[in-house]
Amino acid sequence: MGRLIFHRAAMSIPLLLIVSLIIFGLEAIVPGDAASTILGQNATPQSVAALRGQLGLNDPWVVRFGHWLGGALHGDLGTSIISGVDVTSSLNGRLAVTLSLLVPTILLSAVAGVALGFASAVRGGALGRFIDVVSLFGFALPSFWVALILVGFFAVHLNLLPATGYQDLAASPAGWLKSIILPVLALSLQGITYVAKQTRDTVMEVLETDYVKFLRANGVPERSVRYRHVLRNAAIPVVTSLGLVSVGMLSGAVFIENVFVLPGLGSLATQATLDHDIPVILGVGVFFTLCVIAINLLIDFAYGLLNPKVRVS
Amino acid sequence: MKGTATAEEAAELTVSDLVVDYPIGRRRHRRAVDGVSLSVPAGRAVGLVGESGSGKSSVAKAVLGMAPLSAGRITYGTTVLNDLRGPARPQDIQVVFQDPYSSLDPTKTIGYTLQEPLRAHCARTGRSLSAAARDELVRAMLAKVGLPAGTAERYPAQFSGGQRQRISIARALILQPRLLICDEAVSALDLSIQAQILNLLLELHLELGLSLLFITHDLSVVNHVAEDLVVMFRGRVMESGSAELVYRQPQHPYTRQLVMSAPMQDLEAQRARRERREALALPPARQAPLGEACPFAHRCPFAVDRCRSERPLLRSAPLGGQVACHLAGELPPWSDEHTQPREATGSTTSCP
Repeated sequence: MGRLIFHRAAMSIPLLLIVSLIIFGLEAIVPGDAASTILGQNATPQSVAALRGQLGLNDPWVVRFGHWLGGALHGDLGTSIISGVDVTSSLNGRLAVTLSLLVPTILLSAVAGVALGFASAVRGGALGRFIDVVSLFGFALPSFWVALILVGFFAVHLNLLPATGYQDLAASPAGWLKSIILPVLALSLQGITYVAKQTRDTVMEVLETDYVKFLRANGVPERSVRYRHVLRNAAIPVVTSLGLVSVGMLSGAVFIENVFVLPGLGSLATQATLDHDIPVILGVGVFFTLCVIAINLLIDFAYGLLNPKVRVS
Repeated sequence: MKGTATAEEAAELTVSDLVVDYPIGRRRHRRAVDGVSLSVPAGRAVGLVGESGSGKSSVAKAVLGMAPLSAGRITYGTTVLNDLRGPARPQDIQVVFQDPYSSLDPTKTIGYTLQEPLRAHCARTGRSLSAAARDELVRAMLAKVGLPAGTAERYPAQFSGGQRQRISIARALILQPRLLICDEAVSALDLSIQAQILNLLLELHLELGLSLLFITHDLSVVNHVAEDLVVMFRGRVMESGSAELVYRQPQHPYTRQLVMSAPMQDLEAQRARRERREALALPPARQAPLGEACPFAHRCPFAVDRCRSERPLLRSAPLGGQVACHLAGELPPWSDEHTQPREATGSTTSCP
């Protein structure tokens, strides 16, 4: 395991470098810059050019990227061009919101997805087909659209839950729960349905294996067959799909935070992109990349626990 | 000695007029087994042969309670097996499957896999067996199939196909069954490994008096093990009788084709045989006959009108055994110098 962590850590350095280079390059291609954002639409070309010089935006991109990279290597992600706030501290301030969205979403996708997929495969029949069709539909629906439907029904029509906004968990647990229910539901629909589909397919495959037939023929209790053998063997592909879904949720969070006006990392990234606030964009990009690396590391750990082949070698 | 029992304890497995239909789509069915009768007398080794799709594995599944029975009766001794599922089934009947990779749970140690039927059996019968006694039984079974004692702590991924098949046999034997069903148990293995596993099964058959129902598509394999042969085609029994008779003097045109299609070691003989086979072969018929016809009529070089309008029943054959052919006894005599009756040679060591 130690070697695995070391290997992953070593791999993450070039990965982070490439990701930040791509973000930087994309930003350079996009028309407009921070100077025109700050001065607004009525600025004269002369004043924009002057501010560009002041902000160092006229330097060659290699110099600007090298400058940012030098700071980043020392743990300093710079300050926002627009607000002048330290990037690290604004990431810290918004992290809780995004985690409040992502962690329950991933947990819900895992639990509900596996439960539905397993029930669908084991029960079969009408229930199985129903779950199968619903999960196909659910996976096809975009999360922001689902979010709007949910808001229309639960917030506007029934007036049960707030349509937008976020409440701090420490300040008001009940308020926090109310504020995240709809965003989590909207974001987890794709996760639940994807994991359910994957679970159903894998469990059906395992149910067809000869060892399951042998256990059943020998009267091993069905509960033991299902949970000790079938679920255990289906776990590896299911964990893989959960990892993929979790990575996809990082980008889903950007949409959902905007729909529900949650002050998280996703909305920070959106605003920074509109403002051409390069240090903030890079900061969020680096943070999300670290999240992806961490998720993959967790999956590798899970493989080690689940797969005796990995454990042996 | 543990595990050694006399053949008197074993009972006869009887399958009568078995019909198995698999549902395809909503209201349609496909008939996989169409009125098959056979029996495995106690302590006897019976081979069930036929090409893929002939329904031989469905017969095995029906005996194991894994296939839907539309009609017929399966008995083991005095027990009717028809509707018995899972724990209600007699543990005297055990199975070894074809695929050595799918028949062992990859996440469990071999020891766990071998003990599981034992634990389920103890839980059912209220018999208590200490962990040490179970371990001892596992070790004994592994030794019996020729695997080292350290096998129990390892995982299936660490074993080859042949070793896994030995493990499957050990698992099947741990409840001391009287009848072992081998469903294509050696078909997925290399020839040399096939021979080893066949010899192991033969040893167990002779030493423990274990009855065998040996299912295969390969006549030369089954000839090595079986005392009786049943030949199936498209869900029906075409011919049955002693292995020696069926293999050396096949009386049904289908059995003859099956014997001739087995590969031979001698290339010259193989070529001669192929030429003979091709000379007899008919142009492939698009449509296999349906309903009341001989299921083999469209591929039979001797077929007459009656074969296409009337289903031949299994009846006593002129040379012994039973055959389902209108023309039984009227066919040209079988001559294949390689399968002619010969002096008793050490046939147990020969392998295809």
